[in-house]
Formats: sequence, C-alpha cells, structure tokens
Amino acid sequence: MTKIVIIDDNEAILEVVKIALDESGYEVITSTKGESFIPTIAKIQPAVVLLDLLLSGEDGGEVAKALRKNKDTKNIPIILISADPSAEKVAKDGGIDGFLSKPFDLDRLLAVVNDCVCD
Amino acid sequence: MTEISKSIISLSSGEISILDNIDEAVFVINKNFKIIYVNRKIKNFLGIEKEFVLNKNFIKNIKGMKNSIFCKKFKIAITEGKPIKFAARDKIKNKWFGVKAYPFQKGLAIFVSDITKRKRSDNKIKENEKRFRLITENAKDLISITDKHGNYVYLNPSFEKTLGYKIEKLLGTNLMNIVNSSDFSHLDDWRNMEDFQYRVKRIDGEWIWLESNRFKIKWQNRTFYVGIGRDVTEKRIAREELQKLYSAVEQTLDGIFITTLNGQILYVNPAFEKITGYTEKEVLGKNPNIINSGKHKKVFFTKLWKTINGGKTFRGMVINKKKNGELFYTDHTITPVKDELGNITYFVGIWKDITSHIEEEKRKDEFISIASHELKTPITTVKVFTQLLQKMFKDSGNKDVNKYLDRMGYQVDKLTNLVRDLLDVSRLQTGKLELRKEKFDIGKLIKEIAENFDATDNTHKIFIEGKPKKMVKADRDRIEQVIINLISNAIKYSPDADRVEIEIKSEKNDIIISVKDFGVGIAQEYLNKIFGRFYRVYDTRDKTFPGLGMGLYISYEIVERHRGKMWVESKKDEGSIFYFSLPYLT
Repeated sequence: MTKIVIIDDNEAILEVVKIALDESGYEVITSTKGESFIPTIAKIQPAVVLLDLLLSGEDGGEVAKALRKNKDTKNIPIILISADPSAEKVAKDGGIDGFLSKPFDLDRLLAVVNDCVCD
Repeated sequence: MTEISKSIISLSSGEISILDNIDEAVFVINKNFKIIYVNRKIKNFLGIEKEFVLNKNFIKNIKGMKNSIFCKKFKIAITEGKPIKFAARDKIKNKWFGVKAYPFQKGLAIFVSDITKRKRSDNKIKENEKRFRLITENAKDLISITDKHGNYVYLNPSFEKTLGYKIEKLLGTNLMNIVNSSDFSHLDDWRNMEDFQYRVKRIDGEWIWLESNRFKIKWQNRTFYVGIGRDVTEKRIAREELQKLYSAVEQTLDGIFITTLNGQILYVNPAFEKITGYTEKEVLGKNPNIINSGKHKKVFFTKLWKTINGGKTFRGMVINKKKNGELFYTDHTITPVKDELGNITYFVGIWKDITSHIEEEKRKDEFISIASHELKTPITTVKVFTQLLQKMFKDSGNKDVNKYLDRMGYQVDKLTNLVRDLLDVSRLQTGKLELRKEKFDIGKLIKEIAENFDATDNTHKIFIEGKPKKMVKADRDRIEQVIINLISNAIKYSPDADRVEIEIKSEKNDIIISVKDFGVGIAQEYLNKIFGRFYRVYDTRDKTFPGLGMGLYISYEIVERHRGKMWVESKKDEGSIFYFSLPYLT
C-alpha cells in the first residue's frame, strides 16, 4: 500500500485527511510534530509528505528544508498545506512539489495527492 | 543803584572819579538836554570821549540821537518825573543797551550798559526753545518733563492725543496717578528707565503700553526728568500673539521643523527633538534626511520635492528613523511658505507620530489574519467530512440525509467565502494583496461565471452583451472574484427582479464591464460611500440584506490595483449599474 505521511498540529485535520485518504486506498501515518518526526519518515519512506506550514512551535517551512537536507528524505515529494494562498508562490520557489490551500475539499485533496504520487 | 544816583544828583556837576571805573556809562542831562555830567564809559554808549560830550546838548549835538528811542524815553521820564528802565537797540552801532534813567529836580541821571551779548544769548535761547517746541509739539513720541517727585511740568501734544487727557489737567499731577505701578519692581524705578515698558492708563480706562526712556536734567539748579515714550501697544499685542504661537509650536506633541529652500534645517521644535532623539544643535544646518529610514524609494522623495518646490503642500505617511535607529511612522505635512510676491522662502514640516496607531492597525490586521487562519482549519475539516458523508450516502436512497448534507455543504462554502473576504480585507489593509497576473480572455471568463450562476440560481437570468477586443493581463482569480461579487450583489439587491444584464464595451485602451440590476438602487447620498470598508446598503422597506459589507470594498481595491477604475450609477428603487474598467494588454 502507498504510504503517506501527514504532519499538522490540528488533530481534526489529521483525522479527516486520514479517513479520506484511507478511503482512497492509501496507508496514512499522522504526526503533530515536524523535525522530530523526520527519522520516522526516513524509515517509512512514504510516497509523499503532507506538511502544514503553520505548526505549533515549529515553522513548516523549516521542516521542509530539513527534509530536503536529510539524505534519506530529500527525494520524498512534499505537499505544503497553508491557509495563506500567497504561500503557494513561496512553496513553488522553495522546490515544493504540491500546494494545498486551506480550506480545501475532498476532490482537491485527492487531486493534489494523486498528482504527486503518480509523478 | 538809587543810592548812587542820589549821590550823583547831589554832586551835580562835580567830578567823581569813582564813576569812571564802573562798567556802565553814566551821564546827567538838565531839562534842556544839556549834558552836565558824564563818566568815562560814555564812549561805550556814544562812541565819543567824555571831553567831547560834556556841556553838549544830547539832542542837538550828539549824532543820531535826534528822534531816537533814547530821546523819546528821556523826554517822557523828564515830563512825567518818573524813573524809566528800558532796553533799546542802537541801529547804527547794532548794539543793545540797557538804560535806567532817574529824574531829579534839575534833570535826568542816566545809566547805560551794553547788553548786546546778553541780548544775543537770550535770542539764542528763544530760538532754541522755539526749535525744542517745534520738535516736541510735533513728535509722535510722548514727551514729558517732571520734577524730581514725578510731577508733570511739561507734556507734549502727543500725550493728549494718545491718552486723551487735557494737558492742562495733567500738569502738576504726579505720573504715578496714571501709570501702572505693578509694571515697576520698585516705585522709584520710573526715575531711571532705559527702553522700559510699562502701562499708562488712557482716559477711557484702557491700558496703553509705552516703551520709555527717561533721563535726568539739571536746570536752574533744579532736577527734572525728561521722559520720551512710544506707544507699543499694538506691537506688544502682535508680539504676544507671536509668543502664543511660538509656545504652541514649542509645546505641541507634533514634530515641527523649518528648512531653507535647499533643505537646510533652520529650526526644530522640542517635540522633534524628543521623538527623534536628536538635539536642535545636532540637526541645525543639516538636511531632514538625517531621519531618513531608507524605507522609501528614491522616487518617493523626488515626488515630494517636486510637490513642494511647485508651491504645493505635501501630505503623506513617511517612515523615519530615530537617532537610536528605531523606526517611527509619521503623518507628514510639508508646506512651502511664500512671501508677498509668491516666492517660496522656506518650508515648514509638521508631523504627527502615528507609530502606535500604525502598530495598533497592524495588530488588528494580524488578528484578522490569524483569526481567518484559525477558522479555515475547522472549515476544512467540516467540508471534507461533509463530502465524505455525501459520498457515503450518495447511493443510500435516503433523500433527507442527502438534502441536509447539500445544505451543510452550501453553508460551509458561504463560510469559506466570508473568511476569504475577511482575509482579503486584512491583506488590503496591510498592503499584502498579491496579484498573479496572466493573459486571459475576460469574455470567456464572464460567460463561464454566468453559466455557473444560471445553473445554481433559479431566480435571475444573466444576459451578456458585447465582446472584448483583446486579451487582458490580470489576476484571473481576483477578477473572477470581482465579477462574481458584482453579479451576487445584483441578484441580492433585486429580490423582485428576474434578470441581470452584463455589458462588455471597449474604449481605446480599456475594457469596460458593467453589471446592471433592476433592484432597490442606492440613494444619491450613499453613492460615494459604498466602496468603503464595511459599508452596507439598507433598503427603504427596512429590509436588511445579509453580508458584512466587504465585497464591494475588496472588488474596488482589486480593480484599483490593476490600474482600473470602478464606479456606479444608480437610482433609488430603479436599480444600479456597476462599472469597472481594466487596461487592455498593450
């Protein structure tokens, strides 16, 4: 089963995304922590990491950079999630593979994830 | 002198050598004017030696005496038998003589002294006095002379003119009666004043400010004081006004500076010093860019200088830097000050420190931004859960569940739009609304939007007329937002109508799109307010329309940021036409 990691400090988002992606046949691993979860990501080697930009006590952007730096995770595609639409430009410039603007709907979530996984 | 004359008379024709040694010419005539005694000094009077005068007739034998004033007076003295005293001028010799003549039994004893010198100096004094009067009587200054106690002995007409008192009434009175003694630190101060200002009471009770000089003079062994004063009441009022203005400038909380035409600082007020941290000494002669923060582009200041050099007032928000490096925001006004000929003489800058206000605004906007952010996460959850449920129950045949889920989905979308608008407003306020411009066919976009409306709204049909002549370069999503907003408003504010008309027109460089409704319209007085933040239109039927009043504001700002324009034509109860223009791709 294709593994997907989602990092968000909001438990409800983690739950609903997990259900939605489970439904579509993905194996979803959730985390509210960013940097400290990188070793686990390295171990799991998911097909994609969904990463919220605004984590409590952490900057999602920094987590993305750390993922890119780590030799075991640098090739894993990252989808950045943000409530700020202007973050899309920042994400693209920073070599991020996908962007999900909050609030998103089910179709958009699946489309962005599918896009990344297929690539 | 009468003693002498008596002795002369008693001696009559005898020689009295002692009389030769006095300064006066002395001679005695009998009733027939025969000179029967004469002393040596007669030469001073008649110019002839004593020997040639004695026993001669004063009228007949002395040249020039016939019909002279002297003869006439002597005749009177002899006739009336009374002593006579007079001064007369000998026209031939051009000399003045003081004459005293004493009649006695036999004739007249005469004493003559040369008073030419005295007479001339008297005339000089008279001349001087005339001049003095001419000056004082015509002077605008108030000139007074007092005795050593301050009692007036002389006052010039200006005194009467300025203060209204009759001079005769003031003469002899003390100056303290009309001056304000509280203007003197000691009552004796009036005696030695130099450019001293004090008040004098006018006859009507008003106080007049005089600037006075007073000095002591000695005259005939007595002490007098001459005072020369000038009415400075108007000057003083003007100066007091200026003082008031100055203290306002000095005490205001706004920073004020004055510069020369090329920007050299001539003055800064204490607020300027306090806020910037620079002392006046540190900035005098310097350019105001000493507080430049570097936060503005060069063109900003080029424009500023162009404005003020053109004689116009600059007004704007300027970010400045304090001496300690801290930035502060100012609401800045720079005004060129002109002389009577209209030439700019210097610039006056006034700024209000609005840093705390700006920070407050920033905090507010930050709050809206974070609040919107925090709202979006739960909305996402509700939205996705709703969609998951819709998917689950799609084929269940439970109509009610599907209906309710549709309602939920619709309301979540509305909530999504509201949050988006709130966030947009906060972005517009902080100047962070970014545009991602791309080329697109706006006619096609309008058609798509209209089709979507027609598909979901059963009350109104949307008609489109006209086509764009070119592509536009704009933020497609933002322009879509504007058009949707205008159509939504058209539908919302025309509840009794069934159509909305969109027209696409082209001008030389712009495309103009109008959205026309047949609804409640807007009263004339509100037309210029509707593009303001949080403004909402109320219907005359007291029907309120839902919404936060953000849509038009956002649309207006989006169009403005595309260098376009938005305007409206409307009539109450007839409907509105909203227009916006965008520049065509050139």
